[in-house]
Amino acid sequence: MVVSGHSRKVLFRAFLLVSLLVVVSCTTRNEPFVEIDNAVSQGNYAQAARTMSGEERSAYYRDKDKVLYYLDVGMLYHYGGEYELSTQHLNEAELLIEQYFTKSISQAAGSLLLNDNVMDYAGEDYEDIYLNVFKSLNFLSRGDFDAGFVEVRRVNTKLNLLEDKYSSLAAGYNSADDAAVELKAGDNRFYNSALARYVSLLLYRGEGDYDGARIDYNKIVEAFLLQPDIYDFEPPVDESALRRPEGARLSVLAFAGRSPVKKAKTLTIATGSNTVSILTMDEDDAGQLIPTGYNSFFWPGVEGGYRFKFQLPYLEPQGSAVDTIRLVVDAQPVGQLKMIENMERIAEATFQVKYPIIFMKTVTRTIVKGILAQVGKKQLQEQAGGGWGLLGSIVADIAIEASEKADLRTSRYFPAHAYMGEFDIPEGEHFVELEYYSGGSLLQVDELGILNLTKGGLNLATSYSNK
Amino acid sequence: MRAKLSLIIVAVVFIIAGCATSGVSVERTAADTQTDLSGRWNDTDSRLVAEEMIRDMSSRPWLNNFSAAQGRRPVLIVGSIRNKSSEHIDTTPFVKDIERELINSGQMTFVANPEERAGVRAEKEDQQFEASQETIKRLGEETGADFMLIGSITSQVDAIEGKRATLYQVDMELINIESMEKVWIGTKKIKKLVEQSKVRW
Repeated sequence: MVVSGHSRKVLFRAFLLVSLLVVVSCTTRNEPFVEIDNAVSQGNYAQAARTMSGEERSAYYRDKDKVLYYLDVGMLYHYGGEYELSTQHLNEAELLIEQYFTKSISQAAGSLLLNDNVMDYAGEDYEDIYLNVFKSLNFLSRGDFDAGFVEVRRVNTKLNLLEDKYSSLAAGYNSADDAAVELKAGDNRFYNSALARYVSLLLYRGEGDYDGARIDYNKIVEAFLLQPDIYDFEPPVDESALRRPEGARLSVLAFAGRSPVKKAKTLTIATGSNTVSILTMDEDDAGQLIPTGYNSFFWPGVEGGYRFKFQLPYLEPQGSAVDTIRLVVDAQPVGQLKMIENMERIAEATFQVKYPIIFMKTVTRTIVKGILAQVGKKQLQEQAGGGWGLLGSIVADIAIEASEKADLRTSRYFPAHAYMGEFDIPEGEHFVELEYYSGGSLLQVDELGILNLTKGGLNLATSYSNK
Repeated sequence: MRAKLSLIIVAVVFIIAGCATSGVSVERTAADTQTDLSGRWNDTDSRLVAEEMIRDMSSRPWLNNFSAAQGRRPVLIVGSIRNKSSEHIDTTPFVKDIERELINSGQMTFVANPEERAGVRAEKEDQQFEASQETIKRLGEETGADFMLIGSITSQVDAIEGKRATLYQVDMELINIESMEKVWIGTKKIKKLVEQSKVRW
């Protein structure tokens, strides 16, 4: 086969394009995390964090995913009890999220041409809120009340911003009599976190500022009323939280499970003469694509030769097996904790709000690229002819497929569920344990040790189960 | 023409891929230069607070009243300076600035705060066994403070997307330890407006 100089140039450009697209569109995948997830399942949180840090960091996170790195490692250090390291990493995540508020025009243009992975991961609203919640818990674990309070004030500023941005409902609710207000279902938009408000309530109450605590209590009530899609369970806090107890009050915050991960659903649509074929593939735990469906149907008038590959992200819950958490004080069961936040549901709701935009952007981009590729392939066939033309067409298809990758980025190590409980207990030293159950079977016992409970003190105990 | 177009595409793709530069430049500058980078509390704010507090505290009547009544300089101790703001602020720099200026002016004396005392007392206790009789420092001979300096930093943040106004307020009070009278209250307010661009290249 003879190849003309012009055809060589065309092929060279095509190969160059393939290489560049493959290089710039590489994504964060789930596979490298299998080993880390195993360590997390065994409770080796700090070891998992260290494995992903230092020189190994680039094996797990690209430069554009720094926010994810700091969030994931910060949370793992939190679970591992290394609170200072946790705070350092969560601080970095917070600074970057703030920095990435300013969007890059060049990256946005790149995402229209390639995929959303070319953009810096700027964090979701809930991630930005939760990082302050866990930073606050880090400071409180080290006995630094003032620093813990700083984080709570930051949470309040951020929640106020979200409320101003998304909550016209809340404004209506606040300015009218309860009975006169017609409460509508929320639009799934997360703008108020009962968990964050509860931590704030704890600190205001610990400070003796019951007016501040009451404001947070009202915000918790609002969160359940105005975001019923997110808070589809009974509020766990009532006005007794604003009562001054006779003795000591032990407040318990427990977290369980892991936040959802994103996976890709791949749809390949190919046209033949008067036919359209659709192949659907899902991703397994190792990141391999598994065909899950194939349809071919007759479509009169459809021109053959077009091929579009879509990759759309979906959330796969990691969940938690825990359904009951029981507090045991001095070997005596005291009571059960109640769910205050389904963090998994918030991740899902946030994703659902963005999904239509992701879908439209992906479809539009793929169709444009598919049509341009088809035009290019025809030109290639005409100019290079025969085998080289065919090879060029294959190269063009590879280039487009390589660039069309779903953005699967999301933080992996926030909990799935948050629980709280408040218990009146006599002042003094007590041995405190938390028992995690699933379907009546004991999964885990977290011995929190001897706590010195004081009247009017914060008396906060926290715990995490990866089950 | 097509070759040029290809080159442009390649260039654009490379730009999109984000070839970041990691160059670091360092420029030495005077310590009192005003440097506002992020809009958060910084050394300039700390310095402004110290200057205001030093000026105010040393010019109010409590100082002359005490000196006239007691015939000596007042002895101060730094108590709790609480951070009630929405930023992690280290209060040490401006407290040290205040201590330094007031000690050096000869108008007041400061005694060590509880944290500093712990280390010094440990040394003094050690001297009781390890130091020679001529150089040993006696226990129970510390100077008791007349006044305690306490304070707080609060902040009020008003923000909408991309804009943030923060009002910092530093309040300091001087309390007579014996009578619990507040003899001086100083306040410094600093307001900052920070605007963040929504887009960058």
